[in-house]
Amino acid sequence: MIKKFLLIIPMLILYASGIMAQQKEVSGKVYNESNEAMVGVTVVVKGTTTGTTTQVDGSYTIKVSPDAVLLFSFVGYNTQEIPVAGKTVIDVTLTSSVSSLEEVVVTALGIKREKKALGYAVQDVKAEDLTSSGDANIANALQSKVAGVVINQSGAGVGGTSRIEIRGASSLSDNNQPLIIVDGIPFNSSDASNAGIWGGVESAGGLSDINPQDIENISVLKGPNAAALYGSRAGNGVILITTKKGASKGLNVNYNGNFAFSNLGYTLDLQEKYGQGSEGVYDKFGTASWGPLMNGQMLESWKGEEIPFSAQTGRIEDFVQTAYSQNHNISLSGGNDKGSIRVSASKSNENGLYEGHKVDKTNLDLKAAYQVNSWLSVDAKASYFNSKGEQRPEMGYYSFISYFNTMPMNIRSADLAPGYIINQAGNHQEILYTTANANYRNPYFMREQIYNNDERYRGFGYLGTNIQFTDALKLRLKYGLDFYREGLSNGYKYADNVSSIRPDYNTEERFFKEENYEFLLSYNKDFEDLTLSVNMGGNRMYTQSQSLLSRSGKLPTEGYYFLGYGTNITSAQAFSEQEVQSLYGFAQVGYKDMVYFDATARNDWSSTLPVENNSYFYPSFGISGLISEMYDLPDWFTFAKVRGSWAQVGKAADPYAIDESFTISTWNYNLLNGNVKSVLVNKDLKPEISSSFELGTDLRFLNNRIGLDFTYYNENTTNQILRVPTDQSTGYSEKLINAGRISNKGIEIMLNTTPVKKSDFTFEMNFNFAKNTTLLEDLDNDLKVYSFGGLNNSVDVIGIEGEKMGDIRGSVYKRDASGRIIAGADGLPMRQDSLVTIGNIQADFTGSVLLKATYKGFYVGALISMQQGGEIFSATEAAATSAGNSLRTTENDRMSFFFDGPLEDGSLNTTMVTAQQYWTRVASINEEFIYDASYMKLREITLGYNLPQKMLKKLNKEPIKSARIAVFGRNLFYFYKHTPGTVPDASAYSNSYAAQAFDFAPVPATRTFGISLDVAF
Amino acid sequence: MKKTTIYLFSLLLILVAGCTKDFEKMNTDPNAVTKVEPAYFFSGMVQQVFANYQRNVNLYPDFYSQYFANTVQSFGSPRYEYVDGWIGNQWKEHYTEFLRKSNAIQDQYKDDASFQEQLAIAEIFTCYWWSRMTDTYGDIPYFGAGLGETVPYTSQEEIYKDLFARLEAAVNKLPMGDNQVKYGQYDRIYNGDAAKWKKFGNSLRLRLAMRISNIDPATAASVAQSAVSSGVMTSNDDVAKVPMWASGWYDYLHQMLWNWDNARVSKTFTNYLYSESTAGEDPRAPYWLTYKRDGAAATRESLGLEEYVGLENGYGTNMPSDANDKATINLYGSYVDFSGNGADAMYCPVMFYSEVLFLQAEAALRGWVPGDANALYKAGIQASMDYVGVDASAAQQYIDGVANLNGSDEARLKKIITQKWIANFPNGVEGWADFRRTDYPDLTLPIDGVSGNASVAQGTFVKRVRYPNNQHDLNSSSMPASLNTLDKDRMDVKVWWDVEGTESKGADGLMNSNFR
Repeated sequence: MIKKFLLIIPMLILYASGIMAQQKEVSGKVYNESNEAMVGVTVVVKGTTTGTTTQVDGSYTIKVSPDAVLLFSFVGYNTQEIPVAGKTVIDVTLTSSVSSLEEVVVTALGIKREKKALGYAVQDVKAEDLTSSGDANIANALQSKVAGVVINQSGAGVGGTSRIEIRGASSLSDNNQPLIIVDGIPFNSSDASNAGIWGGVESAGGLSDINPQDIENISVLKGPNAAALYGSRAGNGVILITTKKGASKGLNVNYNGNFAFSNLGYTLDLQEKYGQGSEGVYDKFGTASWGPLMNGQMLESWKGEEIPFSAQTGRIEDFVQTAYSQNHNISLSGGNDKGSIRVSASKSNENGLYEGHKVDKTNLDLKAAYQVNSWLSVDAKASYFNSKGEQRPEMGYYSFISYFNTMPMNIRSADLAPGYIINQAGNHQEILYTTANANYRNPYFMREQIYNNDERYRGFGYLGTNIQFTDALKLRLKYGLDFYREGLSNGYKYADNVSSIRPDYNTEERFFKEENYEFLLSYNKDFEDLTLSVNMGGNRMYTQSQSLLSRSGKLPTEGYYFLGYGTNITSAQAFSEQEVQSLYGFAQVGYKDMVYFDATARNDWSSTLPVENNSYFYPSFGISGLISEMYDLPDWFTFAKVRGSWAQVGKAADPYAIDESFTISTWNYNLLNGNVKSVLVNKDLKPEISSSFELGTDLRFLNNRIGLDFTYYNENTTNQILRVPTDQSTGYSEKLINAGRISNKGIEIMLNTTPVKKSDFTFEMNFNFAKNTTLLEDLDNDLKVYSFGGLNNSVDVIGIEGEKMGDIRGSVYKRDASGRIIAGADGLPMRQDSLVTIGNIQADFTGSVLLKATYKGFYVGALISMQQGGEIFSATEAAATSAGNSLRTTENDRMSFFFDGPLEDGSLNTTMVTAQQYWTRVASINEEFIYDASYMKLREITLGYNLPQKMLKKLNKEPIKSARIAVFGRNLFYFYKHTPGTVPDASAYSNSYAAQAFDFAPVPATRTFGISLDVAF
Repeated sequence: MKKTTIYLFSLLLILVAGCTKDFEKMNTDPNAVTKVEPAYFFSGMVQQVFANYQRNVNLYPDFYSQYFANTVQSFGSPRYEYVDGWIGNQWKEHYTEFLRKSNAIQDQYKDDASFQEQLAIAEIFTCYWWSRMTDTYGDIPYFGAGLGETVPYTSQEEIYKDLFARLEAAVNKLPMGDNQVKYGQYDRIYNGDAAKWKKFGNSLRLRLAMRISNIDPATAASVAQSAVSSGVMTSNDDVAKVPMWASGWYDYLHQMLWNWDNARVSKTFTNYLYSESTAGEDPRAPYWLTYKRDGAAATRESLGLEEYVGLENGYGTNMPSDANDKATINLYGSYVDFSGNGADAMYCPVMFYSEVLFLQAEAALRGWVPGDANALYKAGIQASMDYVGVDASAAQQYIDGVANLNGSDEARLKKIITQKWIANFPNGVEGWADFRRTDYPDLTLPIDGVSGNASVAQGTFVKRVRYPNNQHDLNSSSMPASLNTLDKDRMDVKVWWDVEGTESKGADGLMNSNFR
């Protein structure tokens, strides 16, 4: 009793001093669990409206009576109550709320918001999930981790591009790639690829420049709803990347490294029975495998030696090497009361399956923040990227794999290697197994002959300034810059029989820059039951690109490769620039944590549209209601939210789209040559506007052990700016119109479960499911079919008005009324004249399962991904069939037979055909090579171990904070797939829409194994 | 301090905030021009002869004229299949490039007095290109084409009438004197020599007049007379051919016949090199032809062969594996069009002087122009021998062994066209046109038969090329009603000036259609 009384006395004294307005200044800093300063944490005196927020360095100062109780709160974190109790310095560490209900996500313009307040779907991917598989390209690492985001790697191997499609394709004319935003600044995602069916190489840009180790979080804004504030370029969704920032206390040093090996994984199934020749007869210079059975009989080869005639099935294995890659990253991060800084350096080397093919990258990153005084803070980022590619493989018809797949099965690697002889003139001369011809070449020679290298230097960064006028009102100013210079050179080092201008040398320089100036004025105020946030901002975006290309042919000798050494030097120059100015505003109102309402409005002025149409406005609205706050739900029903939103996004044209002029350049005989532009311009061009709405719900059960997120969306892109083919007799091959309507309807489901959650054992299973249907609702008055391109004269990918987009169009058998294939007078199946739809590239649905388990220091992660439906055309197998190499050509022991089909007049076919005649005809019937693109595969698997602290202390006097070692594998196996040996998900010749329909002689897909080490000091 | 900073930032904000006044200037391509001198368009127009030569010419007219034969089993065009991505290019290139340039020249310089000679020359070459287009397809969009609007198809008859008028007007302007701006080196055919263009223009009028000999002999006769009296080519110096820059990359015969190995000389053609003169082998054969062995040229003598033998036309799956061992063109001999002169690697013929003599021989046979048909016929052979580089005595020996024209008009015409066809080698466009009109010489049907996937009846010859998919997809309403669907738009439909099918050729090897 006395003790209690004694305690009361000081309290009385304190109380008295309070009455006497003896307020004292309390200061301190607020950290999160990883010791990072937390900015914007609300600090209020309990029971009053007196409060402040923390600065960039986490610090705060507040005048309170010594007996006050301070409340520290921040979205996503548990609120802490701390009595001042006379202290003058109070440092606080906030712990994140156990429930992920309070999850905070990064939304448009880098604004962090509570996920529960959003009217649209946003999905996050954390750093650990991106880096666990050791892939140096984030686009690959992101695969199958976000519902509704389909990422397809091209078949170019290391350094190739990826196609990223969010909620399907919405535009006919652009490539439907999302906007990438890094720390609030647009990051150009174009690449230097020029691959197509006739060669060219793939060279990834955009995401591949970003070091995965620098990323803290990726959040994907899937629809225009989420992206409305980014305007034009966000029509295909936004990938928002937040990079790591400096710790605010002490010094943290991290090292991460990994090594990986990739082996030849998947190649076309080839027959092993028949060798070189024609109609069963051996021909040592034959170009196809229509010869006799290979029984090891001694025959004179094309080299003139008697050798055993046997199948050479390991030719591709002989040709490739084990690809090896390594990544190393080291980062230092630290800070003090006033600011924080993080520097990071990394280096990666990736080697491809083909000798000489490699991509090396260097990244340097600096990010810093500084609190100048109580109302002014600055932050900045500066990054440098360098990527260097060498000997990237040619794609399409003239790829190494094309030649291997069509080369007679008995030709030996040993006879082809090294591919050349040095002839009398001292030059490299190709070793050829048959007459010189572009269709029958020696890949060993080509590997030596073709050269290409490229290097990109890139700078990226921003400067930001925050001015806090009052607690509620602040202004943010930001300048962002992204620029790169790219140099490429390529050519053929030796003469050959394909082109008389070889040896040749080409070189190209490109420059790109984008500048963004922006301001954002924000007013945030909490009232009794209402929270209010009103923002007004503006942006001025300027982009410029330049290129200079020079070609030089017929170099007089081998050995010197530079422009001046050629005899016909041509050059071409290009320049383009554009500017978009924007003003926007957005507001959010929250009522009692139950209902949130959002509205945005943006107006753009674009330099690329006709003056009278260059201003366009688009709004969006969203609402989120928390059922679980409104009603009393049973205990097991932890959380329920419904959301809905509607948005529009506008988009302008490309630069010079309305500029009617002539181009001029030097041409043959070094004479000037004038040229006309092939697109008929449209002086009345209008901006394109797409609108979409989505509905969704977020449900959590059993204290978040089960979470279900469901979204339905319906997106319409109308009034598209399209370049469409036009009646060529008008003098133009294309015209620019505003037309078309594409709809994307679909659902996305994310199911997160934690079946086991014990102190030393947890097991999570997360499912992603997405179903999207893209319909080409309207096209144009004249035009009813739009072609996205494809193979020359045969298979292409089209959109037909009123139908599901992405039909694969090709040749089919000519059939009679009852569907029987008609035989021609020659006894062979006939081909129908017109090309028809033989498949569609759209999947019915895609899905993935991410399994994660931890047991004490061990953890296991596995990612299984799948696609159901959609078709793919195997150009690879069609070519091998024509050459007698595909497995199917051995059917029926290649006996001659009567093709079972009526003649055109209905009478019986009485003309016998040989297997060679039959299969060469079949090879031209595209429908034969359409495969179901469905698959399920083990995309990633990781097994790791966190070294116990005890062990670490023994290892080192200065304790290592943590260390983790892991082994990982990528693309280890397919549970099922239907393509003939090749894979359906990494076989395209480029990242264009049309290329997705093809399995086209890709660089063979690999299986990768690796080991990684993470150490924190 | 706080205030100052805030003012400073506000000022910055105002600077950043925009102004859209520069937008129009910004959206103007700095690497483009709004006016182009005729010369810069004209040199490209002339080089159009090389545009996609393989797909536009070699895979079609060159095979159909039987100068060349295909050696790739999977190619459909040798058996009369249509491939849109191949010859469909010709349509696209004509309308969207050639015609646009031609229109731009006229549009921008029609009122400029010192460019009138250049305009007249461009007009002649434009007419040449139109004639190739209509002869390929028949009726095509013509009046008003290339101006941004869809126009109706014009009948071939109307097109010919207009071409005759345009050519006559153009040649009558030439030459215009020294006050005119000259093309100079931008004219890769005649180096800006207007007098030569006049001769070419008249020779073209004569060619086109003879083209309609069977359908409209009255017009043909009057145009032929007018052309000859205005002055046609008079020597091999007048030959119209487009040079190939030695340092450039071209899609021309050296690629198909050597580098790519997808064609060889036709056996029909090589047969005729041994059948037309009692002197035996045509002395032009070794200038034109050789064999390719191990990547190098090999004469028939070095291979111990009796004759140059080409490949039969129209192989499909029965393609012999030694197809590329057949005769090919001789890039290493002394025939200038194939071996070049150093700076120019090769030449693509537009019109030979010998053709003009054969045209006159036919016109004389028909009584439309003065002169002795037989003498002109022999002069035509002589001109070709001279052009190819055959020495005088060998040429004389061959010509002496060629019988004088005799027998019926059809028999005489067959001889004239046969020698004209030989001399026109490798001008497949002209060879195929003459065969369609006269059905001479005796060409062969595809050895593996007309493809079941072709729109040509079995046992008949290909007569035209069907309209490209672009037209069927986007402009079928403008097409002639008889051809406006893929089913009707057949390749055995005869163009306007083609009056008869080769299948009606009599047992004597003669037609009844050339002198109706």
